[in-house]
Amino acid sequence: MSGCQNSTVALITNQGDDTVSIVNLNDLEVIKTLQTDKGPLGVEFIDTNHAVISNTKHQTLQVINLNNFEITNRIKLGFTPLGMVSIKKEKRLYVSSWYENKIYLFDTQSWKQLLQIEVAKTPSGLAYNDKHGLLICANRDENIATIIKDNKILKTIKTGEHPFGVYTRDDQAFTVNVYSNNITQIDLNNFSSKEINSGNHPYNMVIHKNKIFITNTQDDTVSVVNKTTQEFIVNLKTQEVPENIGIDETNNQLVITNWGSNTISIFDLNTLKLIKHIKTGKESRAFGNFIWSKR
Amino acid sequence: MKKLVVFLTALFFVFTAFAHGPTPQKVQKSVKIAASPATVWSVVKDFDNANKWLPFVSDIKIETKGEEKFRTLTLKKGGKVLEKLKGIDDDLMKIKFEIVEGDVPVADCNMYITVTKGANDNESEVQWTARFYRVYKLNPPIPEGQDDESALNAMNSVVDAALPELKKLIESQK
Repeated sequence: MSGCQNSTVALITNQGDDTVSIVNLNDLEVIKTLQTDKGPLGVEFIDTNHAVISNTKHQTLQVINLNNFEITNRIKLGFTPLGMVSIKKEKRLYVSSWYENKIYLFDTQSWKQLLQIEVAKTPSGLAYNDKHGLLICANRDENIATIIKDNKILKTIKTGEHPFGVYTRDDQAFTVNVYSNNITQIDLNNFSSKEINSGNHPYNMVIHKNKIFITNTQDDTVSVVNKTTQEFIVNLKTQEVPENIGIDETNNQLVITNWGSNTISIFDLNTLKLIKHIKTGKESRAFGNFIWSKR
Repeated sequence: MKKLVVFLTALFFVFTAFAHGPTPQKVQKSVKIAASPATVWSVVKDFDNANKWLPFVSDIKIETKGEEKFRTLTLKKGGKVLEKLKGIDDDLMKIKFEIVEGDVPVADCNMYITVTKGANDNESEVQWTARFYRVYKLNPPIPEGQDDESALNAMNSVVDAALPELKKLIESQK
């Protein structure tokens, strides 16, 4: 792995063949494939040297050493994990438990379970807003976002239908609403909210500069929306069933996982032109933060 | 006997708790057909007459509501399936449709079929992809027939029956 010392990589969980594809985003090629427990879905980074994945069918987390891309630890959970978000400076990881309507908090050094928070049904995407000290959780089957402060529910906000992905930046949080074909933008100062249209069956989103990028799983596109005016700019054509999306700041690239095609698509963030589709394992998903740069 | 029932019940709970997740299921299968992509696409895109190559369908009824088109498939084994057309893309040779409701043990089933050029001008490949969930989405125990395996079996049998029939229909027309 010596050639990867200054690389940016994407960790792509492939739920169909229980692997993680390590993709070098500088060279745009798969450099390693890791066999995992069954049903890998979520990805998050817990410190500068480690990532963690959530395995839905095996009900485990697995820790990946980012220096050699080896799996170094397995944490048995006893619940079905989905979304994850870490607070790195506190060495904490929140994990949503899909069937139990709970979020668990772990210490990422001892992997002790510290506490659990009861939320609404089917907690899925999680995001943490550092500025406001808020944890945001999408509750898919209740059409709400749960806003949590100091591990207690502060507020619940009505969203569009079937909120799944969550994103936050600055003074805003967003849920991506699969059935209502929109995203809900929540103002974290006053908790007002409004909807912004997407394409069909949106799944997740990111923001880069003043553009919102939303994956549309049933259109095979990414909607690009002006963040200030909320006006639609253009659709980027992906491969089939684009699910999750991340920004590679180092190489100025947009990275999208295509569950249907077993690929990821790479777009240039300046020109919004397709650079390459890269083959991964089966049913590539990578739910969460999946792009990592060696610093 | 009572102990055995308790043991088997416990085993069932352990197994089902382990064997599921919030996981979309995927069936993706393809067939090669000895005909040009244009010929194959003309049959595949014909949403209204798919009963010609869906061997498990005894009747098809088309309905249009505004700009939306639906078909109701009557199944030979009994029951019906209502499907909605979601798009026909002639450039990509791709048709998309979904199951709205019906007598198939799946939920949120979205499907697409594509036609691509094969090894020569007179060969095509048809690929059918289905993304769906099992019927029962809540906590275990999962009712019989509503699990991942039942959903996968149902969709596998649909695609396994349809693709050879499509091949036979097109190749016999030549």
